[in-house]
Amino acid sequence: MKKTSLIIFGIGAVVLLFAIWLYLLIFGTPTKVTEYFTNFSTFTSGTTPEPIPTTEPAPVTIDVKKDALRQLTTRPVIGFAEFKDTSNGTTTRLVRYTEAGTGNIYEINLASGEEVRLSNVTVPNAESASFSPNGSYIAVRSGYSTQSKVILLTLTTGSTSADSVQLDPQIVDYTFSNENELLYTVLTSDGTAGSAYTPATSATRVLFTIPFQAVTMVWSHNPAIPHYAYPKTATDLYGYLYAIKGGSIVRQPINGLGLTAKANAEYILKTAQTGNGSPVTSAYTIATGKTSPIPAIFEPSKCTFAPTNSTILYCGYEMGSFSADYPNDWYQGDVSFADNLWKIDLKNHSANQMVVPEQVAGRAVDITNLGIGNDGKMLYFINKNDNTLWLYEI
Amino acid sequence: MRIIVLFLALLFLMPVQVTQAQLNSGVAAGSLLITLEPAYPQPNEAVTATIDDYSLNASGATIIWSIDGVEAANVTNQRSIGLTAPELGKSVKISARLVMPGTFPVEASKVITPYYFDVIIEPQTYVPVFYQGRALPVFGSQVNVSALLHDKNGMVPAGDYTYNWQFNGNSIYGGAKKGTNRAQITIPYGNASIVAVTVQDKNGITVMRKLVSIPAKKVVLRFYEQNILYGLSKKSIGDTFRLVGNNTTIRAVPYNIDMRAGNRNLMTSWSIDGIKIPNQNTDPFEINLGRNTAGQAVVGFQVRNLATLLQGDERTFRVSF
Repeated sequence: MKKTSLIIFGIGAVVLLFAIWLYLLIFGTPTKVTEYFTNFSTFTSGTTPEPIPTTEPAPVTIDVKKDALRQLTTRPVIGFAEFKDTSNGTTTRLVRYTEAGTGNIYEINLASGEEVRLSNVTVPNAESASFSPNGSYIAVRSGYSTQSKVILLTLTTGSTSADSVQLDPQIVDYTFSNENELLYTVLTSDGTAGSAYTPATSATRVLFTIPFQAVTMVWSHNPAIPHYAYPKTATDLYGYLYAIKGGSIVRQPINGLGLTAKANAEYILKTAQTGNGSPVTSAYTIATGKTSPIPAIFEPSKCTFAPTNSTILYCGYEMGSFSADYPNDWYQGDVSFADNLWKIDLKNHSANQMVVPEQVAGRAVDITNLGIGNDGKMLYFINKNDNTLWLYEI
Repeated sequence: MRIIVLFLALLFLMPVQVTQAQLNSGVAAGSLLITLEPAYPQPNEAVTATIDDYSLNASGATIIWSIDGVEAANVTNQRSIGLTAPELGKSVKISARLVMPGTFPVEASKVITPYYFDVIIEPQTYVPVFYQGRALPVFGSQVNVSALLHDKNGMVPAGDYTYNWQFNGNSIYGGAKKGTNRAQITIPYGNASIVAVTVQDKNGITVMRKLVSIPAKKVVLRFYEQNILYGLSKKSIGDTFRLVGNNTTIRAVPYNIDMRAGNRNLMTSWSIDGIKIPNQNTDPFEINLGRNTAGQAVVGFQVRNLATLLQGDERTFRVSF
């Protein structure tokens, strides 16, 4: 053998060994014979590679199968209401809400999870909103100062436009009655006047007068239950509760420093400061005139009475100590709570904690605007931390 | 003869006068009184009735209480008794009889006719529309005070009664004034003021009197983030604030500043890291914060009522961006 041939054979052997070493380094040690050099099938093959099974992209669905507690919106919400659509033979639960800042109206189908925008009319600096029971009218406050105004939107079927009318510029507080009348208060020179406005006819009628201006209204949506009113809460100043009957105010046996109250046909829920500067909540039974203490501190916007059982109250409440300035510090946005939802039986003096949102949802909710559907099965509330709308299925 | 007649007249009349004096001291209403605590109770309120017999020598006397003419049990010889005022629209008569040995019994009575009497304080100071609480009074601000008297038929017409208002011991209207159930006061310097209002009926009988303390609070500044799309946050900014986007708007809200100040009488200024900055915003209570680089800054704001310089506040927060 020639010396040159020997050298070429040697170099070839070295290259081959290097290539084998490199392959093993990259692809690992073959475990079967068939694996030897398989990946070097650059020139052979002839076989078509096996098709990789592909999956069709899943249709986009919103998760409507759901936990009892769930967040309904990511948008900030300033007002909402539950409706039922029975148009196609089945009853579908709908929630309409008003977006903060824009005043746009949206509707969520709680069965399908579908959300549609019903009104794209912009109400600048939309601050609060109230829906009529038939869902057609929405009153929206625009602005945050004393110069704010209230706009009445009328939804148009099949369109995202809506008619808008500016209401009395002096409107302070407002809600809708069960008869779809806008109930509102305006300031007068010597107090506050309450009126009812019928959107369908644009007729207005005066309902009552109150001889002071700093009024918190406890609106009643049931004609059998009177509206109540009390001076706005201040922990340093006294408040007194009045029922509104016959166009005037009738004093109720409820008063106290920093008074807040909420009422239904049988009970008045009252929170007021005690002598040592901490708030206390009690339930006043209208029929008997008796007062029962409640071992929790309830603020009216964190509570709602059950529509089907007047002895049941639902409240958002975080156990702990409350400042002597509560609830004013909460109204100011200085303090926040990690509320749990409670069911309180005022007749049997019992309370059950229904859900701990921080455990279920993984974050704290500061409950406000707690409301309930007409059948008493769904609780809705706004989380004050981010103004999102939440739902809890009872 | 005249002297004899005069002597006989003195002789027979003197004992009669002495007897009459003793009689007066025994039954005169002014000698035995019943005082109530509270003096003007509200319906169903707990009341303590106490006899006031300082002008009598009542040692050894038996004290008998009666309610609406019925002798009260188990309270004989008690100087004070507790009872509950009747409900609205009803009255109760409390009587106390002192039976002293060797003389006539002495009796006093008091009728309790409760009313609801509310004194409502309405400070004329600013709070934003989303704030559900009441504005608070501050030094130099005005406060409207309303006195609402309620009987069983509801709120009584103010014109049926006479109101006497006093503020820190001084009469507001110079004396009692019929139908004037409202008053306006200006909060003086100090921690608190006292408003006293007395209500008399057409017969001049005082039916209610109440003293109310009105605290003098301070202007309180709070900051809120105002999203250009979603509006004002309802949570105030504490000591720190994280700027999440590239820019944002912060609104300062001066709670409890005098409503009369408006924007013209207010001095407002924003500062960043202690340096006063001109605010390009048309609203002096808003400032736009934008991010040029990463870091921190201290944003400050102060507001002062130029008409009442003690009425103001300043506050800062640290923004991370």
